[in-house]
This record gives sequence, structure tokens and C-alpha cells, in this order.
Amino acid sequence: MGDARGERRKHIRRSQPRSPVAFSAFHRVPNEIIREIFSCIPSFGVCALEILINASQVCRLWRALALDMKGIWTDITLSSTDGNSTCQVELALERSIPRPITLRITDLSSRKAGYRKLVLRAIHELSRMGGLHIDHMGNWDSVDLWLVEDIAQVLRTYQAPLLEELRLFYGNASELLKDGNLFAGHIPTKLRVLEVATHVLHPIILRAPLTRLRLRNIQDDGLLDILRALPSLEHLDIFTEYMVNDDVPFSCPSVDLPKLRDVTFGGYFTTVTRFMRFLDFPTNADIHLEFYCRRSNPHSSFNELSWTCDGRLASVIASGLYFQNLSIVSPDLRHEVVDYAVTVLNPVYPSRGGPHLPREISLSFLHGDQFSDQVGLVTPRLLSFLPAVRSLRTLTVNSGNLRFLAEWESLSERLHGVVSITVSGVAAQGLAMGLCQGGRFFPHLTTLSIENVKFAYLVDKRPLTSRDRYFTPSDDESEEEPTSDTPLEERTSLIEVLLNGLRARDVAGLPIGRVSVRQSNVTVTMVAQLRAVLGADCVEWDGREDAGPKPLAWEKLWSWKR
Amino acid sequence: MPTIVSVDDSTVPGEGSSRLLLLVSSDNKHIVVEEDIMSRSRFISKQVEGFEATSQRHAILLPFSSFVLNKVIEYCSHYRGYYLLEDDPDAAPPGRSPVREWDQEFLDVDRNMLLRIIKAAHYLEIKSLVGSCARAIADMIRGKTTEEMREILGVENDFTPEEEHSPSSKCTG
Repeated sequence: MGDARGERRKHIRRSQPRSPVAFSAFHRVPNEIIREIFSCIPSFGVCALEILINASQVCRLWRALALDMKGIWTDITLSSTDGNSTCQVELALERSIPRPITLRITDLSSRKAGYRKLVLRAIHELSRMGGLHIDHMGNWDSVDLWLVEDIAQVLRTYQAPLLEELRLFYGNASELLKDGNLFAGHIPTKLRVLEVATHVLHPIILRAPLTRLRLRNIQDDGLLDILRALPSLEHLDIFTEYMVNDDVPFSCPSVDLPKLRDVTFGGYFTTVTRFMRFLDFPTNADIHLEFYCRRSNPHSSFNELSWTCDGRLASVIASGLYFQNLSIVSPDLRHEVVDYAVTVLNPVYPSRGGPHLPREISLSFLHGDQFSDQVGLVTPRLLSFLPAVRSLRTLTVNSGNLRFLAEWESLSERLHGVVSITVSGVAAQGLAMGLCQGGRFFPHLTTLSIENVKFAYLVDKRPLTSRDRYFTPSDDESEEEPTSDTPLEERTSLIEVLLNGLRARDVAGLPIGRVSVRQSNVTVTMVAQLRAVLGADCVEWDGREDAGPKPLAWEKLWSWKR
Repeated sequence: MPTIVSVDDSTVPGEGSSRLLLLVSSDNKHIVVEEDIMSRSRFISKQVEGFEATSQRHAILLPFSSFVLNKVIEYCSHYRGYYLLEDDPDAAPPGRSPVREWDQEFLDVDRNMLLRIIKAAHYLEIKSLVGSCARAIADMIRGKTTEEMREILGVENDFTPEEEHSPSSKCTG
């Protein structure tokens, strides 16, 4: 009897459908958590759709939740190399209804069968498209030109009422949008972001409330007309490899962009400076200018264009006229560029209402290049150019040419109000000698920071002049002090010069209140000597005896931005 | 709703500037933690508001073990005083961003523990922790087949054969 009952119990247990959820690790996991997991998946990029499809097949609950979350199916990538398959695209299009979709088309080729049909199928969803990104820049040799024509045709034919972002990146010069009129007058009402990289001669002119405009490889002709139609722009990012057309008259009315918050402009110096001259925008906007020249540069991904550190310097000179702080990081300096910037920018920028005077200036030049023959007297020239120097309070320099006393003297005269100096590398030499001259040299100086200095360097007792031979320390830490023709008895250590300078300031009644030594090759004895002169509390030392950080590398300074 | 029990003043130390909370785990461990640390939890914050209304102090009973609770407290302690956008009820929902480096190490635990933490974080309404755990779980199933996902997360297939072989199910890339 008992056995029969047991058998029946077993039968009932076997015949009842199992409740898998009850035994799984996901038992009683709230649906919100599963939704949260699903919502993370789209950020995985092109593989997201496959993960979502697989996840939606795990169990009934997961499928129900995945199908209920329309938003996770809205990002679709079409690509010949790693795009979503036809089946995945179809599923995503179906499951995302009615949410706006974002379609990304990259590196398409007809080599993949059925792709044209698929692209057109997706493109015809334009009525609910929130974002359309077409990027052929990477591999445009294999791009089929039919795509450009088809897409242009679709854009002209269909309304795109939900379209907020449109990014069109065509790398092939043959892919011209002949008239540049993408929408045939029917501008999507929600369009806010437009990014275009194309070689159009007469670019798109949209009277739309765009907030962000990014243009690449666009000719300067017509640029001002484009912007004139976009008064609500907040972010402007332009790069062009074309030279400016010089026939834009100076009498051309400026373009008023009252909402502009940041400007990034890259191109030839003449193009950028001429262009900027005609823009009128709030003075607190963030300006970032990048200049290029044709000089060969192995770090550039373009053959014709290359980064030029000269240009970067000039760009900072330009922005220095607008801002309170000026920071220059340059591996190379050429005084011709500074002269050029002075010539071009000086008559332009003050006309915008007068420069804002920076109170802080930081000049950092790459180790090695700072000693090149090109350097000349750039740093003093730069500082003398800036109309702001008289208001300067904080100065940070590591310039090689500032190892000469004469240059520091020149600076001291113009930077009369400086109260804080951070000096790095061999620039400390000239400053230390200058301090020996007591109050005549930076009379208001109260804080001196010394970084990356070898205090045991033997320096000439006589002030160096620019006629003295440059030396070029290598990046090798084992590099010894520079060679000198000066007899040993006419040389002394840098620490001695510095101590003499500090004592002279004391005697002159203008003591330096605080000295900090960081990342320098200095001994405990030397620090004790400094403390004996200034007082124990007035000297900060990081306790490191090494020679400081490695110099900056090219790659850290320049990064190609498309 | 959590069970709330009244406690003596002596049970909950702290009359100073930093108020203390008594959290009781499901394994009946009493954990005292500064209210400031747990302020990231909207659930706890709401409980504390309730205490203030009744001017009584309580212990908060929580339906997960002390081991899990300690992990959550560790997370909250680490981000004490930090502003995390995800936890700001007034901020717009942030976009998906990579898991913070510290979170990655913090969540380097086995699958079951990860699930317990996310459940606890969900219960305590700590959105940033839920988000980080969810991202960690999503990373676990990244690049996996459906069957592998089931194995990893211990979810059983409850589809009928017909459902499983429907046309849409065949689309696996």
C-alpha cells in the first residue's frame, strides 16, 4: 500500500512541469535587475545585438523582459566586416518598434551578399530614426558608391521627424553630395547634431536649431554662411585641410553665435585665424585651436597634413589673449611662429573688445628639443608679446633658453608683479644667478618651486650668454652634467649659486618666504643648507633624490583626433 | 517592507555628530554603521526619515546575510562622501559607462555572491551598485551562447520545443 502511494507520488512529481526558476540561481531575482542587466548590453557595441538575441532565448521570463524593452534593440550596426547579420538586423528592426532607432553604417561593400537590400531596408525606417551615422572614413577604398546616392535619395524622399543626430563621414572624394542639400528643404525638426565630413564644395546650409556641428574635410568657402544659419550652436568642431580662400573681404560681417560654449578648429594657420576673426561669440567660450603645416611628421596619420608644434604654440598664444591662464606644452619652438602670431593675431584679437589678462602662465617644453638651435629666444619673445605679462603673478617655466641670466633679467623687467615662480631643469640656473642680484630681480617674489633640477650641477660663476654653446642632455639618466670649456676653478655648484641668491635676497630685505624642492637630484645636506638660510619651516622637500620624471613623449602630447 | 524593532538606547551607540544605525542581517548579526555611510541607500534614508518622525530609534532588519551586508557596507564606505550620478535621484539617468576600476575589483567574486550583492543593492536601492553589478553580470554573458548563459547564471530552459525552434530563435548571428 505504502509502495503504491510512493509510486504515485513519484509519478505526480514526474508529470508535473518543472518550475526551473524555482531552482535557479536567479530565483527570486527581481525583474528590475534582469532589465538592468539587459540595459547594459547595448553599450557593448556591434556585438550587443547577438548577445541580446541569445539572452532573449534563455528562458520565457528573459524573453518576455527582453521583448518588452524596446530601447535595447534600437542600436543597429551595418558593416561588411563586423556588422550585424541580416537576421539580427531584421529582428532588431522588428523588436524596437515603435522606438526611434540609431543606425550605424560603416565600411560597407557589396561583397557581402544582400547587403544593399538590407541597408535600404534599414534606411527606409527613416520615419523612426533617431540617429543615422554613416562612416566610410576608415576603409573607403572598398566602399560602394551606390550607398551615397541611395542614402541621399532616401534622405530627400522621406521625412525624418525623429532624427536628432546625423553623422555623415565620407572619405572618398568621389562621394560628393553634389548640391549638399541633404533634405531638399525638409529639415528634420528635431535635428540637433550634425557631423559631416565630405569634400563638398558648397556645404550644407541648414536653417535648423542645431546645437552641435562637427565638420571635417570641408572647404572654407561657405563656412561662414553655414554658421550664419545656425545661431543656436553651442558646440562647434571643425577640421579642414584646405587652405583659406583669401578673397573673403575683411568687411565681411561677423557671425553672431551667442550660445557658443566651445570651439575646436583645426587647419592651416591662415585658415583658422581668418575664420576666427569673423566669429563673434561669448568671451568665456572654451577655445581650442590646432594648427597644421605641410611639414612631414611621422606621427601624423596624414601624408599632406601634419601636426606642427609651432602651430600648437601659436594656438595657445591666441587663446592666451582670452583667458586668465595660459599653458603651453610644446616640443619645439620657432620664433618665426611667434612673430607670425604676433603679426596676425595682434591686430585681430584686441579689436574684439580687448584681451583678458592672464595672471598665470605655464611654459613647458619637451626635454631635448628645448635645447635645439631653433629655440633661440622664443620664450622671452613670447612673453614680451603678450600684453598680459604685466599682470602676471604666477610663472612656470622649464625653457632651456632661460638658463641665461640675460633672459631672466629681461623677463624680470616685464614680469614685475610675479610672486610665484616654478622653475624646472636648467632654467633654474639663470634664475639662481638672478636671485643673487637681490631685490632688483623679481622684487615681489615670495614663493619659489624648483623641480627636476640636479643641484650638484657645476655652473659657470660668470653669467652665461646666448653665445655660450648649447648643450644637449640626452634622455638617459646617466647623462652627466654638460661639458664646459670653463676652468674648474671658475665653476661652482648650482646649490651654491642658489644659496648665495637667497642670502642676497635676505640682505636686500626681500626674503623668499617659501621654497619647495620636488623631484630633484638633491641631497639631505643641501636641503639642510637651504633650511639654514630660510628657516626649517620655509623649505618643503618631497624627500626624493631622483632626477625627476621622464620627459614627455610625443605621443602623449599629440593625439590625432578625427 | 523590512521588519523594524524598537531597541534600547544602549543598543545603539552614538549621540554625537555622526549618528549610528543598527542593521540586523538575516543571520541575526547586529552591525552598527554610521548613518552617513549608508546615506547612499535610498531605502535606509527613507527608514531614517521614518525614525525621525517618530522620534524613536530602531534597528533595521534586512533580509540578507551579514556577509552580503558587510560587502554592501564596504561599497558604501568606499564611496562615502563621493557624488555618484547614478545615486542622485534628481539627476538625469546617466549613460552607460564602464565599471569603475575599484568596482571591478570589488565585484571580483563568484557568481552566487554577485547575485546576492545585486539583490541586496536592489533591496537597499543603491542604484550605483546595482548598475555596477548588472554590468559585471552582463560582462559574464558577453560572447556566450544561449546555452552557456543558462549554465553561467543557473537559469533553466523552460521553452517548449516548438518555442525553442521558432524562426526568431535560430537567429544567433
